[in-house]
Amino acid sequence: MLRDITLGQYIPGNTVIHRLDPRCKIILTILYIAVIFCVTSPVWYVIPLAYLLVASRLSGLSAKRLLKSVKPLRFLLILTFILNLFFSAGTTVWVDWGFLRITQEGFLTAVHFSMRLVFLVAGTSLLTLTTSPVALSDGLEKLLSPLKVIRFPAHELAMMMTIALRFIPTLIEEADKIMKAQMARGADFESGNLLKRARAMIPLLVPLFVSAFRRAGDLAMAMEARCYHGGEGRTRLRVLRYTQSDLWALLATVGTLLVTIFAGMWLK
Amino acid sequence: MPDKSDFYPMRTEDVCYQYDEEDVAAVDHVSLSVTKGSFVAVLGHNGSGKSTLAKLMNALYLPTEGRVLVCGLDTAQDEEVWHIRRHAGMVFQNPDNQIVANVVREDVAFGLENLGVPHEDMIPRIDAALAAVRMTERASFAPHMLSGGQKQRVAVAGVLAMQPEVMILDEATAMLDPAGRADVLATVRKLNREQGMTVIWITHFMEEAAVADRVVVLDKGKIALDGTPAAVFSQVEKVKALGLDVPPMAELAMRLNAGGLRLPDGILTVADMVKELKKALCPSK
Amino acid sequence: MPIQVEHLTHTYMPGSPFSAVALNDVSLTIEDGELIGLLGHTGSGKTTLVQHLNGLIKPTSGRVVVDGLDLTQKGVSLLEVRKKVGLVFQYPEYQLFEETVAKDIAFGPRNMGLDAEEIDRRVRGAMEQVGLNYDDVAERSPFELSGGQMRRVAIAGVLAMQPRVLILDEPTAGLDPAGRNSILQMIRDLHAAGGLTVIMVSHSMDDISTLATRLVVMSRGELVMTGTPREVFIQQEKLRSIGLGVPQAAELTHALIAEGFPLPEDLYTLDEVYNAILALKKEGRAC
Repeated sequence: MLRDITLGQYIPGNTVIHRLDPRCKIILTILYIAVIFCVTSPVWYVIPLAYLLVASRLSGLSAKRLLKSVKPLRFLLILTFILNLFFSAGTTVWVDWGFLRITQEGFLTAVHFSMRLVFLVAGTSLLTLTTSPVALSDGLEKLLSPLKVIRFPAHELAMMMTIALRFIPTLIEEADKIMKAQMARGADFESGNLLKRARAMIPLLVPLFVSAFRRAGDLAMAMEARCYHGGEGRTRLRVLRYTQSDLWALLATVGTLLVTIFAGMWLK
Repeated sequence: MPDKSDFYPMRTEDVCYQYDEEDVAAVDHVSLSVTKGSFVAVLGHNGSGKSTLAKLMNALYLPTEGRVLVCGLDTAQDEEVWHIRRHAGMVFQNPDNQIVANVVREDVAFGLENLGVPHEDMIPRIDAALAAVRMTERASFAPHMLSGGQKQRVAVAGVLAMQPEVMILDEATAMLDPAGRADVLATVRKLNREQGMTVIWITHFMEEAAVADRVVVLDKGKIALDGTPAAVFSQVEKVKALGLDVPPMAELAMRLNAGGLRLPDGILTVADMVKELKKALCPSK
Repeated sequence: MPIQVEHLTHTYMPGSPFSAVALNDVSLTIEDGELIGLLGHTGSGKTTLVQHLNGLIKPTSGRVVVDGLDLTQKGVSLLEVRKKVGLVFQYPEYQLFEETVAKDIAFGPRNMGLDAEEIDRRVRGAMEQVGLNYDDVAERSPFELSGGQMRRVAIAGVLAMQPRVLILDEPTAGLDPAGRNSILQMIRDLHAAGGLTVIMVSHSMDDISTLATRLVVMSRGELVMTGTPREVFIQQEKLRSIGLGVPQAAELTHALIAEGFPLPEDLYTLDEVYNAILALKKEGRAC
């Protein structure tokens, strides 16, 4: 049944990585991304590789699980590789078919950019795999809250995320039901060309939107009845606290970043 | 003289409400005082004005005429609106459309967070509310994994944690199956009996109204009948004319009396009927 | 056009940690012209069973044969099956989508590839069957109508396909007593007009006791009882053990017999109980 599909990729656990403060994990992820962009040559991917291996070991998730999260992007990955392979400028020609040339430089660039993509996705998915969506939206709200002075809607953004997460399973279930109901009236969602298929979605999408709006209206009223009046003066059940592990993780990551920068300067 | 609001946590005085696009009032001069600690069923068919009345009771709608007093506070006073909504907690019809958070426990916390209750005080209140609706074991569940009846119990807990004076349930069982309906009704009735919670139970199900202390029947926005379940449902023809069901046993009693038996008024259940038939048919037993 | 269900088993998400047996070895034959009341708790498998009858769900094992057409065979035209077996979902008003009532009802016939004239004829016919006035509502938006009227439009949308079997999944859910009674009357009339086999899924014993010619009771994915209402309601203990009640008239009969009143034990309508009690009094046999 659709309702049983787990949301997002979060895998519950109780490891050091799971217990890190979500705010800290978001910062670590940003630093990690910086590490990747500071890698200047394919060789130095050993640094983020080591970092990821340690983190995945600590989080109890296998490296294989992390690689799995790259799978949905395999076409983009192949495209990146091919484009860079054929269309980079270079002098050391390996293969020359006239209109297509493969050069050593092109090959290295292709490897470099593909690796960058793989490491980006694998690393950020470590964040979503070990942090519940709720904690993530809490962390984001807290991190962004200083921006409230410039009227940045940090609380509203986090509330929207929470509500979206809450209603995704409900709407998936509803879509499934409406689809079946229209199929019972002879609707065909599976055959025909692109235009015909797009048109066939109307009997599904219209009722789904109507229902989503009705739900939104109901929910707004229920929230008001429970005294919701924005982020002002609101307390939270979840209190975020930094611990010592957060400090160590931060130091380790900043260290990794520095090593990467120096490595890049040393081996141009 | 003791303050009236202590005795009647919910009072409406000649209250009217008219929707902008309609010509007739949805609620038409309703005066209703709900006694503290009582369980009052408001019964009516669709369009009788019962849901509008519910929304007038916690300032979601403001009266076009008359007043609504929640614990003595006039709902028309803008600055009191959060006090009023805290004191008059409301549970709605659709179980899916009133749970905000994606974990049961956090949804129960939602109202407390809005009220600015300190973190340390929240936890015992949430635990007590979850225990009162028997959802402690499912505190960490996602709402979409619960049955309709369980979702409504979570909604009840969310209101209960706010420690209201009155709980208004606006057709809270209309979308549930019979097991879920019985479950939610029993849970709320128990809160009423054990914690003295004042309950306003809005419904179109006669069986639910039959367990109340008092039944108020609405029709065309006006109070058509008001009394104990026995007194209201004995008026079989009148209740039917209002588009409502009567308990089958009340109807049978009326027909048997027309057929020559002498059964007293106020038979609502099978047990009542058995007892009275024994007396009527076998006086010696 | 009988429907045969043979050893039907359905498992949701087999092989996954969420695997759940929704139907377990269900066998059932439905004859022409029956009005079946399909009873059971939420999760008893009622909805899963009826969705098999027009091919929306495929059996994990077993067969479903509709009018000689085995739905489990490859190459069976599902449109053909859906023309024969119409299925009205729970809260069907939430599937309306067209700009006008007439267009929405025409959706099914249009999918069947009928010509404009025939579609119009069917739309008018279906609206009459559900008691909607064509001149008043055909050109209105379905979203302007009341909940009860929207439900009728949705039912008309299925009737316009002129199925031989009409399945309704909890057609009275969420309606007030007046709305419920008028939908039940509509179903009674549709069935009485002849030529239509009706299967109505319900939790309500009272709705179904006066309507159905035969009851089918499900519990935990299994078919546990079938028979006329009289045959089923007499088994009160068994019904209670699966969490279902009986009509109050049957409950009263049971309780009075336990108190020693000489009543026939198979009474289940108020009329029957009324007559029996008056007879007791007249004959002075009560004690």
